[in-house]
Amino acid sequence: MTILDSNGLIYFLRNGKVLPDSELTTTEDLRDEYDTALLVNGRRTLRTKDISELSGYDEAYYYKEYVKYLNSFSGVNVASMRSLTDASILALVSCVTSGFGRGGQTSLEFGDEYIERVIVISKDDDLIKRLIDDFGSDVEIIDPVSL
Amino acid sequence: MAGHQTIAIQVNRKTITTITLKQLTSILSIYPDEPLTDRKFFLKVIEKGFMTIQEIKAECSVINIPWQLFLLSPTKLYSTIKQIEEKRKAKFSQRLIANREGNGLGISLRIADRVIALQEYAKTKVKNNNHFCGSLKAIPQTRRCLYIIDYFGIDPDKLHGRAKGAVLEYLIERFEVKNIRVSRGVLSNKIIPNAKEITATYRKSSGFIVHDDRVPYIFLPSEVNEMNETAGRQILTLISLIVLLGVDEFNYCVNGNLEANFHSKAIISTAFEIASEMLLPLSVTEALQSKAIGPELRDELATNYMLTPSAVAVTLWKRGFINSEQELQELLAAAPTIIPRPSFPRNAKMETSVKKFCGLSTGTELLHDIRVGAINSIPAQYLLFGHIDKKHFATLKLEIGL
Repeated sequence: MTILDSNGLIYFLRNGKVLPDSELTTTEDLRDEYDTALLVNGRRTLRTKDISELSGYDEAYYYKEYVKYLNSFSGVNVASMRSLTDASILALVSCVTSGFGRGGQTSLEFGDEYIERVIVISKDDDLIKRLIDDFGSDVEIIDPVSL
Repeated sequence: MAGHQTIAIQVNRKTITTITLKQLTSILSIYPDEPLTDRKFFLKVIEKGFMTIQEIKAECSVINIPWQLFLLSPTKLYSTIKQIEEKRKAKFSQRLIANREGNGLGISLRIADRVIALQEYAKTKVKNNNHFCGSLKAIPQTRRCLYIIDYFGIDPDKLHGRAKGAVLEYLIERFEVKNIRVSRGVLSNKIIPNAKEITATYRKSSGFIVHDDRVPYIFLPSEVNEMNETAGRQILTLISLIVLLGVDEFNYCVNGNLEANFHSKAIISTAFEIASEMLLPLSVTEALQSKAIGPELRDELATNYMLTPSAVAVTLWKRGFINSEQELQELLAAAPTIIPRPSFPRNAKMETSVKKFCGLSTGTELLHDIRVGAINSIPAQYLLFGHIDKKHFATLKLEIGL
């Protein structure tokens, strides 16, 4: 499962790099950021899968996690609307790695026994640090520059 | 009801978090001049003890505040509200914006916040101080009108014999060229909320300055106070605020009937005199020496010279064409009542609304930044609407060809 931070997408677009081929898992906030970034750069839409399409999707759990990160991720600032997308990425990763709080990772098409790697493509140092702190080896971070 | 009463926030009947009544009241008191706490939705929520996330999002799209505020912990919420208030308070305490009267009239706090946010954004692109601010202080009163005309490159011939709306647009364009940003209150496209009980607050709004050394802003009430602020009155308000900016006086709310109050403060009188001199040149009134001053002449001058009939009457009195206060009062009493426009243009283009509210230059810069991806959609929506408004942002993107 791949999650692409909006700054990662902007990096790809601005540097004329090939967009990730894999399906990207998104939240409402992320999709909005993608739409604008893609439109701005005159590019096609990405292949995405909304969090609500994941097996075991629990909207209440997602919002619980969103509340948690909205309050605990230092970059979030509602007064100036900063880093709200980061809170949704952290909530998304938390939902996936915990199987929406039921334990174990959410699998996609391959059945419950398959543990899929969660890949986050991001250039945001604060977000990366928090992903490592909270999810450790459950999540692989990729710098878009390296792709 | 006790402040510690909690209200559950639910998704699919599951509680995802709770807020206390005190938190709820704090959120709804961000703009103490607006009766948000009286809104039926919240009264009902307090009664039933819960609200859903979808309901919060829907209500916030009506009152234009970020729905995420409802999900913040007490500590984070109060520090967020403090941040919002401190930006505003700094302007008030440094007297860079007019102090509000005790009854809260004059300046809508929501509009002040929005203009301050736009000013901060605009400041990232302007590095030099604005030379007009304070410059009038060194100019003798008799030369100030000419100085303003020269400084802003105003063609006096374009100030008369045209539609008042066109003259207003022309003046705004001239002032913006010299980096004085002019924000106009627009009700179209939900740039600011148009719920009836909220608009009741800023319908009383006057024109005011939000000062900054680099990017001073002038706010004109325009559509939000259209019952009182016709295009003609806005022209007078605008020029008067330019004069106040020129003499470094920011502590005044001004509306278009300042001719009725000019005798209360010397600075307002000065602003009125300079504005009326610009709009109704001395050469025009000097040619009236032999004419009888009556309602007909007053109205003719008002039509041609962008002043309201009552402002023309006061101008003629100040220039010695009306002999007594009684004559003046008779002429004022006979002034025709302004017929307000029926309502704001509901089908206005989003781009037009944006440029009116943000100011021509800031609006253009913001739209450019959205086009080239220099600003992300969330902060852009915050500047445009004061909260996330996907529907109107999508309309804007479509309109500007994205």
